[in-house]
Amino acid sequence: MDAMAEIRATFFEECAEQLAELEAGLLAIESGEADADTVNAVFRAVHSIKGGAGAFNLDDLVHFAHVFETTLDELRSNRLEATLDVVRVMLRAADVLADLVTVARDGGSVDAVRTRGLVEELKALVGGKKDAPAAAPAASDDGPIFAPMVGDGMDGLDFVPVSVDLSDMMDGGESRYRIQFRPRAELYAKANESARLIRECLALGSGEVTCDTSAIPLLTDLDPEGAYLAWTIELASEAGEPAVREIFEFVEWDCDLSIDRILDASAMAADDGVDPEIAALLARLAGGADAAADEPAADAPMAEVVELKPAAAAAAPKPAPAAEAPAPRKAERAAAAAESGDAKAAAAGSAPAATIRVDLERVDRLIDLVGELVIHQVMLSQRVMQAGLARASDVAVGLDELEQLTREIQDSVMAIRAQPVKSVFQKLPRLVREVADITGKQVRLITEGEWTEVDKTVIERLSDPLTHMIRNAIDHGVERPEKRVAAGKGEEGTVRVAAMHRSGRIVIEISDDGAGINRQVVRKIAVDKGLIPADASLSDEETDNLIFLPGFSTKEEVSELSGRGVGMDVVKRSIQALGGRVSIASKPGEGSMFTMSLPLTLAVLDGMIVSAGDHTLVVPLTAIIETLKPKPAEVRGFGNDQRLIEVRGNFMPLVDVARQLGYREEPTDALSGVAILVEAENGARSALLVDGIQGQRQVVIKSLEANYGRVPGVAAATILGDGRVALIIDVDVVAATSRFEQNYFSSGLQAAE
Amino acid sequence: MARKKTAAASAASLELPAVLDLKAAAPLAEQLLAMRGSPITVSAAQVERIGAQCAQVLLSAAATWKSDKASFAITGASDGFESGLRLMGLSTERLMEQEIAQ
Repeated sequence: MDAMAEIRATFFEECAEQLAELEAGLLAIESGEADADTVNAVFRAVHSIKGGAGAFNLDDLVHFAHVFETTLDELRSNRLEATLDVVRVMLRAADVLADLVTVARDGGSVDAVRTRGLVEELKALVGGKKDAPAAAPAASDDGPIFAPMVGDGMDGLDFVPVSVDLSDMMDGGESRYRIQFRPRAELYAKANESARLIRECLALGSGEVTCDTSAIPLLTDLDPEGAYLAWTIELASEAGEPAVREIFEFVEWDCDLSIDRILDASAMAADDGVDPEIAALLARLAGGADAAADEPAADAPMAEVVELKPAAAAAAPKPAPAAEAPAPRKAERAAAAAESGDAKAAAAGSAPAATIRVDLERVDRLIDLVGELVIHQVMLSQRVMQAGLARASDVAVGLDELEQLTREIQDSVMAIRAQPVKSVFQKLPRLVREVADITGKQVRLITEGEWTEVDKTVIERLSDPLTHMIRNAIDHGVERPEKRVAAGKGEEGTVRVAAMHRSGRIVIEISDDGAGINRQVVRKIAVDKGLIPADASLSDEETDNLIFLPGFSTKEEVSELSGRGVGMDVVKRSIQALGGRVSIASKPGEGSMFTMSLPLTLAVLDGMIVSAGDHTLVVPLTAIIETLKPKPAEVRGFGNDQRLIEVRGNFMPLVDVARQLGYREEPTDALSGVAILVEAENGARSALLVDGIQGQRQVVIKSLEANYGRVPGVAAATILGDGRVALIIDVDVVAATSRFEQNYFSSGLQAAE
Repeated sequence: MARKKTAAASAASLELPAVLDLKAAAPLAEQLLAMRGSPITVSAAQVERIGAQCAQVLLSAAATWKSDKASFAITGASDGFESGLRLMGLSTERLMEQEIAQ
């Protein structure tokens, strides 16, 4: 593991946040809602990016950020008025800054002409004020990185860029541990992975791993699932021994483990002149305590901070280095010093939100545990009922209270993962600006409900389809200004994106006031491409939905925007993969509205509980269209032992679930069972034959892959109220219609058993 | 699992799968055992992840080939392969040099 890489990752994470703040601030200034704090926040965002970038020698980024910062400083000190033109330039500069950050992170190249153009524009705004305090030599494009920013208004936050070996600093003032770890075969048998344990150790700090391979036998004597390797990890970490032990908590019995503290006073390397911001970055990385232990902590201005923030380091008790009695105090001061950069920056603007960064894995584990808690609570209630205790008995009443409490805990834990869709929405203004520029249209974006919360995993996968739909709305929906005027509309088109909660799901509407879907054109294209027969009679709605067909593209010529080979079918599929649906409503001349409806979380699922054979299964509700009792006339035999069912004149395969999953040898009697009509992700419909429907409820999804292994036909599992495990059917696989697939599938199943 | 096998007498080659986790160890050992006796080139180009048990198998194979006096080479080590080994305090070079401690 590379400590540097991790710091870098943190830096870019923070960059993303700062860029968001920057854009939000500039937009606020644009709409006239800004106050002095907003300008300061914007300035601080750019300043922080510059500071971090300096430490990583990202010269391009530093140059640009510096010029940008200089201009912002003019704004901040009221020497420059925030006119609309100025703000527009700054918004574009923010876009360029974001590009530069992306390039610095992922490689690639930026549009150098655009960057240079903006540098000129920004400088032009500053005008003749080259002697402004912040206009250090760095403003020249190819000078040294940049000179110290003296008196730049960030009181006391002297920005002294130096090359710092951050990995050295990571070691400074930390405890060192020697972890000797020799796994036994049982450890692997329980699906633990040594590499993961080592990674977790290294995540606590930095260290060196040595591997003892001397016990490796010849291949003929080797048990591939045995344990022959042993490791020694020299770890330098902020975390205490308990944190290290915790990693091995679940494998303690299956390995030989020793964890020793090494006392090493020399590790307290002093490092002068460290940028407080980097120190702060490091400090946050290392969990809030100090990183640059002996940093110029004793300096007078810092000492004041200690007085003000006595609790700064209290949260992270420092293991005192050997033979240094006042060390804890020193450490505390250093922590405060590290924080002082922040504290002062905060004083200049609004206080940073009181948030902590938590590893997603920990939250997931908590969610998992709470799920277990709910299950056990239900089981307990059932036992009490079985024991014949009256409903009004003290025990039952107590259990009711427990139930409410557990539900509340479950909701709160789910809420931890929930995030406002703002993080996706805030990328949209830029997208709209750019797409409008390219297409030569004037578009105003209105977002609503950006604080609507939804699970993080949903948010992550929301961005692509949303981006695509907005691009579409501008490219295909909104007309050119002259056309709009001719149609009696204002020159500027409007794209509205609104998010809201509706009956336990999140609904996102993307609407435009453009021309609407031209149904004749859509129909013609679909016929031309052979997607529908020429004489098909379609309702307006059906015609609109044609654009979701694979291989459909309305534009005759491929434009820069829509020629990316991604059609609406991909949008539809990615939304369906999330368990969502998308629909269109369109009025010619008035615009169209796309509505996405998505589940709030991927951790729970609405399912229909069905029985097949002796087993209970869950069918995801999103896949189900309807259920019906087959009648004798509707079920037909087909081929060897396949069956078809006729539903309103259409035949579709009748999939015998119990047989398919190997619960039963002989075919299920279609007439005594229930047919569930499902739609697979590719739109193919089929009917699943099950013995009966037990009900419908929300189930907590447990990954089968993580706990057991992948089984074809099964998407995941859940635990029912009575403690039994029920499998959640993977409708796509079970409903695989071709005979070949079925045969292949059932043989695959047998192999899995 | 991509598996290329040339004539038994000449040098054999083996393409490691993308994921060398706990489940991959036994099949890998089996495959390698079947190829014992002839020089071998193991391609690690596709590897995305490697766990301890597969590292054990590869170490053992290297030692086995060495004791058979046949050449054992790992080629095209991917980033995933290298970083996975590095995490465990190993490296491709170290792997190929493995010998049985007497």
